[in-house]
Amino acid sequence: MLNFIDARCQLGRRGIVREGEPVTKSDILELMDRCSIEKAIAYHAMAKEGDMKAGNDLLLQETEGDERFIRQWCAMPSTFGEFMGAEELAEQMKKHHVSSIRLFPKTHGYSVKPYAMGKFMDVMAQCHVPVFLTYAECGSEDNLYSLLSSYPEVNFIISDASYRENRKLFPLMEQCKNLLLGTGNFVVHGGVKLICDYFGAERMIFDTGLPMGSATAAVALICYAEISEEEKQLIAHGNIERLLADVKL
Amino acid sequence: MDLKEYVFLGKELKDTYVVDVHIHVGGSTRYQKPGNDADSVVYTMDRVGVDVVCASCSPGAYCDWKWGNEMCADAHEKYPDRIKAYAVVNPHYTFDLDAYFANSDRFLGLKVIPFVQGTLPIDCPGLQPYYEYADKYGLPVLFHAWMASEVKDATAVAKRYPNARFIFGHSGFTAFEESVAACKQCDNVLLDTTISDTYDGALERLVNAVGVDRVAFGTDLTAFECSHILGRILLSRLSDTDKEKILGLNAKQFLKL
Ligand SMILES: [Zn+2]
Repeated sequence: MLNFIDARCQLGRRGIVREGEPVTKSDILELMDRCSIEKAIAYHAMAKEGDMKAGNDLLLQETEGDERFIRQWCAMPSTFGEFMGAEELAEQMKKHHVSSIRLFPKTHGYSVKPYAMGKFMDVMAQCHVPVFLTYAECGSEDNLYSLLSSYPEVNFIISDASYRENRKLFPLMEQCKNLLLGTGNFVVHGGVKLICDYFGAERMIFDTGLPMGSATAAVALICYAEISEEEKQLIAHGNIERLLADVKL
Repeated sequence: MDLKEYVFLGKELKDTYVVDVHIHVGGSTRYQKPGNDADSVVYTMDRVGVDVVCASCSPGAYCDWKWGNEMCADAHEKYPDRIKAYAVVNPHYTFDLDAYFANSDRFLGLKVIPFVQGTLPIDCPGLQPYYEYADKYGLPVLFHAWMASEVKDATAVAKRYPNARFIFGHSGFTAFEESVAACKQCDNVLLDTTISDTYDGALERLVNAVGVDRVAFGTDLTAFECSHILGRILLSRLSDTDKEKILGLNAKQFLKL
């Protein structure tokens, strides 16, 4: 049976909760158990929606001693003293066993162009830290291309590309080998097989977007894909394990 | 074997009767829509274990309904037991529905989506003759019912034409309160599960509110995949008996398959 590592999970209190939606860590763990998800890479809602530093601290508390969650911090390119600089970030990540970062350029109001990302990305590249963000957070395909092509050594996991994006997404995947697609909401008809055929199973990383996204849907999308067992294993956990094993903090 | 086990094995649902009440054939100029022909649809049905799909033609909804409806009927004629066809109607044109339905089983019912035909309302005057026809012959009608206003209009139509049978596409997840009200007010309404993206728990919430008999499997295949929606049902907290009703038994009864 396939075991999954979820590369996109959010812990903590968020502003909006729909009726019946998972809220607490135990709600999320129940879904992970139900869906054969062994571990999840998690960031904290507070770090996205409220206060980045406080949210990253809360993440450490919430995941203390909990082997089901792999720590991810939200970050931003240090802009004039607002957030720690890239070197300090790398040190703190090492100290607290945080192995990846998630960016929200649109929500947090900064540019992903090289003039703004500058040294921050150079440090992430030196440390082999995988960088996660959603398609919508990049603002546009051209922004995404600029980011990915400026930092070819950084592995970017881009998630939440909808079923309507192939005409923009596929040329990006062809040009930028450092683009790995988060599978969660990529519900193109036969889309998982299409990506395997065009670009290889190495280019996909399983994710759910829990608790707002659907783990039951994300798991079925991979299980029912018309690809080999080996390809499923890579997407479900192999690719992300390889990236995390390569982190040099 | 529990139904949920099929997902983890990636195995088609062989012993469960599965009907998808809401799919599309035909391409799109708006985005890439792989595998949108009848052969590819049946291939996907076999991959996951769907017995019957009910299809309308996407280009037929947006522009050439004549071309689209013929394409859809051809798909049915190629796979009569697997693909059933909805005829798209368009309030800007006059349709001779006898040409589609009299002494013929080429079409199962009507697809109504005035949202892409100049954003006209579902209850607009141009559609009334087709609702009257559906009422007269007890035909099923699939609505694109996304927004609350569309669901309210669709509910008014369902009340006015009690002998027709209406499937509200999407609305149980996009206009929850209005969909619950529709089910309370009208016996001739069924909600489908078609949605590209929603949260875990949304299906259970809907079933709790309207009853398991009022929800049927629908996916929007080939506009997008069907397996993720199958997963939401099979891996939900519902019992296998309830899952079987949603997957096929409710539609079988409602559509008289
Ligand atoms: Zn549809």
